[in-house]
Amino acid sequence: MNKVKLIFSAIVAVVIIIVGICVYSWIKGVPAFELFHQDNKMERTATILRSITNTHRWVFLTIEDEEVVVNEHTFGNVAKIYPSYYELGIDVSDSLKWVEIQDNNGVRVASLHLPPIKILNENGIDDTKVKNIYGDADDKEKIEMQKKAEFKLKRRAMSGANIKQAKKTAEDHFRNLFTVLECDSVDIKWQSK
Amino acid sequence: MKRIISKSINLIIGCLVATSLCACGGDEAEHVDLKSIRDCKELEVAEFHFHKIIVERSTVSALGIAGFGLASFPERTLILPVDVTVVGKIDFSNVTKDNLIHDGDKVVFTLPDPTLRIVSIRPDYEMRGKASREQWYRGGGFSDDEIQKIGEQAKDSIMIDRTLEKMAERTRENAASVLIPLISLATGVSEDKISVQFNSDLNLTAATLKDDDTIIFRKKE
Repeated sequence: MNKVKLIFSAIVAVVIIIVGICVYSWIKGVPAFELFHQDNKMERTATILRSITNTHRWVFLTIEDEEVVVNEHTFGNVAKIYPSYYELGIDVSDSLKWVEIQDNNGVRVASLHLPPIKILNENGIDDTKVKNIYGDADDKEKIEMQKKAEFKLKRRAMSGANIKQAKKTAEDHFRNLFTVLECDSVDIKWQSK
Repeated sequence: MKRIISKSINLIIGCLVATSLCACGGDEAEHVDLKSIRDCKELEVAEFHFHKIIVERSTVSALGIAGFGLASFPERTLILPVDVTVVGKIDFSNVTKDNLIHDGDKVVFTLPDPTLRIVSIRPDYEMRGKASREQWYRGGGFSDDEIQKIGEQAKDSIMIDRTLEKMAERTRENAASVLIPLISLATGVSEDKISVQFNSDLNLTAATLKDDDTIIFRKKE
């Protein structure tokens, strides 16, 4: 009988302890029992402004796109989605040689020789938005897959239709801008590559 | 005893069935983004290159009870340099003749508000491989969640009042230095008689980061 009482008391004690742990965990918002627990802490570090580059780039078309890249391996493929954001426009950082103003008896004519439309931002893929579909890739393979995606995305961004659209927007813009700047007419030509 | 066991089994099966029914959902509506190709008329006048080193320490606890681990060990000390590029620009979409004013022999051009955009976040994976320490089973790179966290931390590090204000002011200065020669050439007015001004009601220390990584400054209250 004493043995039974002892065993019963031990069981009750264990149940009370388990219930106590569960209640405490519920209050604190932590799991009651865990085999493994991972704790990650990011430390606060300074952000340094390393350099500032002065630019003179006009953006006329932006393209959001994405590309799936699959790398085949013997023991399982790797697939990722690469979203991109490319800007098409012109870079006139060198000088104002692309603008010529002629004053013909009070009539001001602006002649613009615009450089070719190109992709203005080489790093159009945001590394932090790349999605892993399946498989694991090491850093070297990630870089290789990103280069494959970049090639296809840039080629699509610089399609004939997109270049034509960017040129149209550029011409609309500069006609408006030089009219605002009191030019009576605006003549636009595009430089060849 | 047999009754208790069979009732318990029935209850468990009932719970499993109920859970699976709740988990079945309808098809998600397909989202079509109409902003994939967009015309714009923007002048980019500055690129700001930031560098940040992200340090993360992971520990693993074994046999945890109520948040206390009976045995813990360091799993990974991650040192990841990240380069962030932000572009300062002016949107010319709504520029009209009203933006140019003659004040005697002087010309004043009012420019639209400057905006910023985070255009690139590039982790230095090579340096991470050299500088980080991790347990043998931890290798292979980052999960999507980890990379997203790195991106968020990099963006948060840019959204600091003083940093934003400096970038906005530099964007304004650069816009003026780019446009004054152009205005002088187009209008025939000498550069020393041209000034560029911006809206004075912009709060350069209060900005919002939008989903497309554009930083828009808010108006003063």
